[in-house]
Amino acid sequence: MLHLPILKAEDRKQVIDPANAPKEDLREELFQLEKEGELEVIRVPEPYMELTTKFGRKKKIPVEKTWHHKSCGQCGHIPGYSSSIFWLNREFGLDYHDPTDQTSCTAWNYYASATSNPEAQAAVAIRNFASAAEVGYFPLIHCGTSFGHYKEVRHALVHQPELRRKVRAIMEKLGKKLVLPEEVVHYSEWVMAMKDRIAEKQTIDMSNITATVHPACHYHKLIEEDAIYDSEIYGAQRSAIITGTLQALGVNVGDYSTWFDCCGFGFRHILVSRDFSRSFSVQRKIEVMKEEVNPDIVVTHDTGCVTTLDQSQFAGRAQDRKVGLPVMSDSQIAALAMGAHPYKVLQLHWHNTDNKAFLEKLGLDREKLWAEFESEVSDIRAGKKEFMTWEDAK
Amino acid sequence: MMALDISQNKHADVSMEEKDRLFAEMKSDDRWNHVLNGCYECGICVASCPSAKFYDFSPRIIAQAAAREDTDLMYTLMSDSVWDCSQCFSCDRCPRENSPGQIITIMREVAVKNGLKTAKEALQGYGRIIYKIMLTGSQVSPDMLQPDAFPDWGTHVYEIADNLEDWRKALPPETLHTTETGWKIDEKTIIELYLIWHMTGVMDLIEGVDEGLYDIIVDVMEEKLEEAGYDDITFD
Amino acid sequence: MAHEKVNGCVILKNLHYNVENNTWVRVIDDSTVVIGMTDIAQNLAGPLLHAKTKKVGTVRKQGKPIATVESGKYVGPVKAPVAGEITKINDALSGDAGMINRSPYNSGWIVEMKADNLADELSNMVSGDDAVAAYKEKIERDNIQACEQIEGADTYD
Repeated sequence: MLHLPILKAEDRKQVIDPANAPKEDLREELFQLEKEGELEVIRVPEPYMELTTKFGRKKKIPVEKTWHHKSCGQCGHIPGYSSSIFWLNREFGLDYHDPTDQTSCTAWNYYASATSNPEAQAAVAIRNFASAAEVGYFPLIHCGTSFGHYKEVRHALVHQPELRRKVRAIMEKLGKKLVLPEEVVHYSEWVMAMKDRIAEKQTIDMSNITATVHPACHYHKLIEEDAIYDSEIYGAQRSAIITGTLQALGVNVGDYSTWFDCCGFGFRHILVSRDFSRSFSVQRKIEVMKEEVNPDIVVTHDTGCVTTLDQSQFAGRAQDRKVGLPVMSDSQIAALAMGAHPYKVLQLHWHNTDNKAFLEKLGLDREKLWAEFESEVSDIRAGKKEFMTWEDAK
Repeated sequence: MMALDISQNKHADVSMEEKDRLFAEMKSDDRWNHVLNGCYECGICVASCPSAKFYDFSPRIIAQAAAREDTDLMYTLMSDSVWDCSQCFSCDRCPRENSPGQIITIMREVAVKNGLKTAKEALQGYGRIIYKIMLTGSQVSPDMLQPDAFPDWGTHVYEIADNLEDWRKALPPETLHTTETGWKIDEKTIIELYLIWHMTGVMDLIEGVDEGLYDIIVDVMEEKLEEAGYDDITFD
Repeated sequence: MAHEKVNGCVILKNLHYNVENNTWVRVIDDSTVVIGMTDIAQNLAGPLLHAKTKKVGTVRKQGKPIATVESGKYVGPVKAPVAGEITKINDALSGDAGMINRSPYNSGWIVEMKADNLADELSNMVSGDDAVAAYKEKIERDNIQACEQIEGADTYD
């Protein structure tokens, strides 16, 4: 009988050698096309930070001068998610732009209904990028789906001259140039690149907190070579995104067996085949996390994932399933660690699964904080002020 | 769970010429050769597929049928199977670098473009989103959080719906003080989106899928174009 | 009886209906009509959030939208049952679209139109007992569940 040595996962370290990367560095072709006059590249402004991607290529992450490409689902239904991203930028005194000249990436509709085509999707993307270039800022993408989709669009435009020609013609009719960013950067990559600076300003101790991480499919499965990896995290076998950020904040990250599974959003399923989404997320994600780790919090970095994981638990509870894990984004956790108000900034009242125990475990006086927020709302109702401002949210 | 019937000539009412034509349309897509390199039936895609766990659905069968150019089976799959896909692209871990998910995206586009009955049925719930995108520039709006819209999300939505206007004003970012749109958006931006949808044929797709939806979108947008001073827009 | 209920849905016999598009027409004189959504239509749409009508003076062909209604789960056109010009719109709807749900045949009226060819178009619509029969068939065919009570449903005349 053969006895083969059994390696533990921790011992199997992925050796990253950028010189032997199986996938190309798209930027080489991108700059080449710019030389040929085919398009213009929006360069990452300096100073920039660097993170390592799957096959060793260093990815440039802008610090500031960012154009915030907002997410439909965040702004529409979980606005504390967007607010926390802006709050982090403001706390560091960074120059950022929150545009009104921005459309949805329309990718959710595309993956759900296919009532579109590659030209339309590319034109929508380029229109947004051009808008950023016109004001001299660099696009930072808030949604995981937008991020994955824009990577695909950029890839297609670089490799398909006919598509480029069509999109350029459409842009001309709108008085815009065909521009593409040097990097497609997700906000969670910015948060991770800033993690040590965030940890420096941390005022809330999170060492008694255990979290599970859920990475968005469209973040690390689409154009896989572009996701962030780290040899010190999961032996570079899985993306380091979110986990790296949480570890810097002192959070214990618990591992669970369905880490790679989708959350079950489904794009069309979340609206029209909802039994699938809520069943999948409860049975394959939440119950497994609860059983194997029993975390205080589930942290993810995409709109659809927060929505599906958070909202599905109600149906789970109604069926006596083992659920009840609050869900937040990495930007909300990072902001909270730096002392952001859980209701004025994180806007946790839009979330569904009960997060009171989590806030109390952090030593926060939840009732007092809620009263502070309610007082703002009362002032608005009484006509004493029109809106709650960033000043009020301090 | 509804079983997927992949028996030969299941859609006998559709001619082989038509099935061949539709397959040729899929194959002529620029992406086809990038997303299909031949399938050796390892099943890694099925193992990672969330839809495969709850539906009688298999990315492997789709990649196989596509690689073998079985136009009859591809028609059946386009009609009866592709809408189960969650478009998560977990199947992109295929060792042959196929993307069954993207093959499905192409198949869906062909189904929508050709007005397949099951495509229209699959899209009935999506008229709302398409309307939102056109009118507000974003795919959802705060005022969609209503008890009748998401009943299985529980009673929390009542509290949100009751407090919506004031809670939206209690948001620090200035662009989010909205209830009918996700964020404050320029009129010019929405018009540019409409022009893109016209120039790329998306408006024609919408007309083919849902005429009523097409009418109300065109109505509103033609008014906006007039107000913005666009006189004669010709689309080639 | 001036009205009948099918599956709890009220159908007023003195109105004319385009059953397929679920709109009703109340004849004022030989070219003027008031238009609205039926009880079934408001029930299917759910509690309405917005009802936006076209402007006064808009000319419409039959079947084209004279208003757009939006609920938590649905958005769609109210299709003109007759061709003509919009002469009046129900201003109250912009502040309270729910009026259509509560009173689809009275205070929830949508527009008034001057019809091009009323006599002809009416002959393509159903009224009275014919309307009730047509709706019974539609309700069965489309498997429409019971309607919820609308304002004054017991006192329609």
